[in-house]
Amino acid sequence: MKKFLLRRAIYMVFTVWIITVIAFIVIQLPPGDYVTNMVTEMMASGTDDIDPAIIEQLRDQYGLNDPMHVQYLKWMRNIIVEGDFGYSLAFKRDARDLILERLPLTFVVTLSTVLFVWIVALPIGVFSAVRKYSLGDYIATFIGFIGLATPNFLFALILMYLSYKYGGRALIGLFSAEYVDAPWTMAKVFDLLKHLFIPMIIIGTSFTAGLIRTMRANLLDELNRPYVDAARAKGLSETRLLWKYPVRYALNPFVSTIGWALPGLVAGEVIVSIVLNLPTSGPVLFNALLEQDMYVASGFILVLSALTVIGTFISDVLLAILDPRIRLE
Amino acid sequence: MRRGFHVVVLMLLLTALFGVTASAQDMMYSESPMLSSMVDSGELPAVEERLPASPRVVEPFKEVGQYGGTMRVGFTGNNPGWGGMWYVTGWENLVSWAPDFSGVVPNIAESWEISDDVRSYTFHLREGMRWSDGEPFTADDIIFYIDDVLFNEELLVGGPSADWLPREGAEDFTAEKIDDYTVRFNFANPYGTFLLNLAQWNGRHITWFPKHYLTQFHADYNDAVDDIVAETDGVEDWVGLFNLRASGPTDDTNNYFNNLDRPLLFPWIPTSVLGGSTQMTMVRNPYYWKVDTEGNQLPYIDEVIGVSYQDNEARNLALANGDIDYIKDATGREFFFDALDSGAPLNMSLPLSDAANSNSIHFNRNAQDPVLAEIFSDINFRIGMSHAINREEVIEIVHFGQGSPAQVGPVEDSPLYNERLANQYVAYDVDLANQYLDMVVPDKDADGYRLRPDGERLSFVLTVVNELAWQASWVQVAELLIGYWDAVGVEVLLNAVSDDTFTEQRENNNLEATMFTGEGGAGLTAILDPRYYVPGELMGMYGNGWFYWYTNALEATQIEPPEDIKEIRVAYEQVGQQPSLEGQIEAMSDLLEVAADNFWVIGISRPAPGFQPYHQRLGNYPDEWVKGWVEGVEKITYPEQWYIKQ
Repeated sequence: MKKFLLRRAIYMVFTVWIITVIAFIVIQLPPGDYVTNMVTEMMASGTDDIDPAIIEQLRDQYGLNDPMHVQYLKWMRNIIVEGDFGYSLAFKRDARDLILERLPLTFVVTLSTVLFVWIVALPIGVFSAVRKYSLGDYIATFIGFIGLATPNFLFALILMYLSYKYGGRALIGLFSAEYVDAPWTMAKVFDLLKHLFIPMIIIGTSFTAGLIRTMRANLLDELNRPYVDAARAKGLSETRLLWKYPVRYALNPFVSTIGWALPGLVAGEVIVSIVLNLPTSGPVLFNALLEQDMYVASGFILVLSALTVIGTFISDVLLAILDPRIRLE
Repeated sequence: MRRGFHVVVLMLLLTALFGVTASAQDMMYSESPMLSSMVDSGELPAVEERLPASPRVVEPFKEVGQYGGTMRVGFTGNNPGWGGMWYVTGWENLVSWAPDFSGVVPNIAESWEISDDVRSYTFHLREGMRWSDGEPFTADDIIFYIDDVLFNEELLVGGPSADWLPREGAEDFTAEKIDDYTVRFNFANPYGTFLLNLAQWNGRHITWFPKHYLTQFHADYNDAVDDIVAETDGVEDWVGLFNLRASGPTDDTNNYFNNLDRPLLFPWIPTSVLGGSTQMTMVRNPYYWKVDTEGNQLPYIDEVIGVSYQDNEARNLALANGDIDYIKDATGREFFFDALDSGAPLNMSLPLSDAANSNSIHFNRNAQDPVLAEIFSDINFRIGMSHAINREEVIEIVHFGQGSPAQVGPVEDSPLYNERLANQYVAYDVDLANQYLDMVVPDKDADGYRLRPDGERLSFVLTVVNELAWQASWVQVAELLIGYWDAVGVEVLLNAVSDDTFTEQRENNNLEATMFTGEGGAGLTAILDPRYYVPGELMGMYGNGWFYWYTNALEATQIEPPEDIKEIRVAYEQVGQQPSLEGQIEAMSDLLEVAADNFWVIGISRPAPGFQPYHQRLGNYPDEWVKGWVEGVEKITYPEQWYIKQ
């Protein structure tokens, strides 16, 4: 076990390192850089001519004239030595502050969505398998597929419009206006929960369908195994039998995909957050990529990828614990 | 509003010559209750001490307003300034536009004198006027900008350059301090349009640099400036530091929303930056130097919250909900009129666009392919392409029937209106289009497409920016255009690109044909923004290389214009040198004749009437106003006199 953990830890560091390189390079691939962007913005708004010498000067000022590997090494050094993720050219603030301010709510949204997906998908999946081809199975499957097929942003717009038209208020954001900048209190938490269910449902629906089908298929495989017949023959009650053995085996794919759920949900969250105006990392990352505010973009990608790698590691370990048949060697 | 322009032209002239000021002597001043309590507790000096000896008097648009309240302004994106806050809460120059856009009126400057040769301008500042931190605003601040910023070789490496300073003779410009409240500007050449330039965005830098605050970041004043550089994130030298703290000269002005301790002259000053949450906040400037006609210190509104939205739809819904009070550049006409009908807490104002046209279509005479460049330079080609366009249909489909077919030219009630420039070649006539095109590219291939003189099929790319709210309909227009041109045998391919890519293509001169806005319609805007009438201006993409030649930027993209184009530029420089407005209008009218002869760009339609929804509780918002970049967008509605009805 120790050897396994050590080996995996080394892989992890290596993977994260590769991701930093890719993150840093890919962000700089599109034409131009932050200064081009700034000049475009200034010109589009009427500033007449901007002297090329001044543009060069701005590049120097922002450290964009160094060769890419020098920029990368500086960036990595500062992260490792000082925990400094660089400087947001667009916000004129530390990238780390921005990331730290946005990540917690991103996790609130993501984790509550994971919980929502599991709470909905597991029982329905089990039900669809046990009552195969029943009316309930068809209805659950149908709703699941609708959820999978509807684009998130469209679903978000429809829910927003319906809540405006019939509820009298469009549910935008994660907080009511009076709580946005307020310190954390029970009232603020309650206000958050009131707003949270909309993004939770929107992001969650597309994932539930997949999980329902996976659960159903896995469980159907297990239900015909001889050990189920054996247990039944020994007089175990149907419910206890179901939950004790086949469901436990069928859970394997759930556990092994915990790690993947994170990037999937964060990606799904970007568009929904833009539409619903949520203060999560999605819109900031998206804009940082558009504006080529590279330290913010690279920082977010680095943190999210590192968390994904760690998530995968945890799910592997959990899987090994859950299912003794899986060997670590 | 625009009908009165001729009369007003005279007024403008008088104003320009004598610098009229409203009398504010012997006025009793009042202030917001929010500030009186601070005065009572000794945090602030009394209102009489905070205001200049003669404050700028603003006449409320509808009624004297009530103090107090928080105005919520919704903007899209992560940049509060460009998102809309700059137009509502910033933008104060030496002079400003009269609310009806009839001319310039005193603002930071109380009055001025202009020499007969329009080379020398003397401005009288307001005695006792203060920055938002309570320090006096004097001639020293302006001289600091001229001497230590504009003429500083490290801050502006290419020599003195500013939006308000004509390129020609910039080195010889001088400014002198007559006394603490008087400065004189001396230009190398006559500069008759200086005041008109000052009222716009171009004039912002002159009163932008608080000397008492910025000297600590300036190497000429602070020997230990490198220590501050070392402990400041994101800057490598004092030039970077100065730009960061001053938001200029080369850094974007709107970065000031990220710097909370920078003194300002604006009605509201930022108290928090945008970051973790989706809001930023602003509070009234206790030293704001304007009062209403009853002596109430402006602004009326105590606090402003800027709410950041990532998406227009969410912002629209929030306004219809009543969650916010104001948004800049509303989209979704039908949505808002429906919301109004179904009882949303909105009022509707009808801004008049100052634009000449919904779009301008450019065929780049500097295109890299010499055969294309040759074809594009032939006026018969452009005439043919123009007649091929079914403008009525474009207006019906894209603009919901709002607008009328027209070329790019000043509007009817502008003193610069030129009938030919506005209406020539607008008729939709395929036969006529073919006749004109046959004069240039008569031969066709088997598929019915026209052949270039070198035997290849005439085919080129129409590049269209497709990113921001105000560009939303462009691709749709372009698709229709491509259909019309296909019908006359010209193959055009659509390339919809982001803002960045568009800039790259312009800077590398990769454009063949493109489409952009239609500036230069109302009033004198054609003089102030002549991009579609005078070649060699920024965004004049019908001769893309010429602009870079004139600005001496991007060597590889520069193309020297032919002699006749150079003569037009010289004639345009002389427009600005005319001392009188009549002279300027006359000289510009001659140039517009030349523009009509040359038919630089093709237009589609006069701009559709605008609409501006705002929350019912917002008072003193005008029902009609001239809207455009030159006018400062919202600034011409004097947001400092808006108020919240209690």
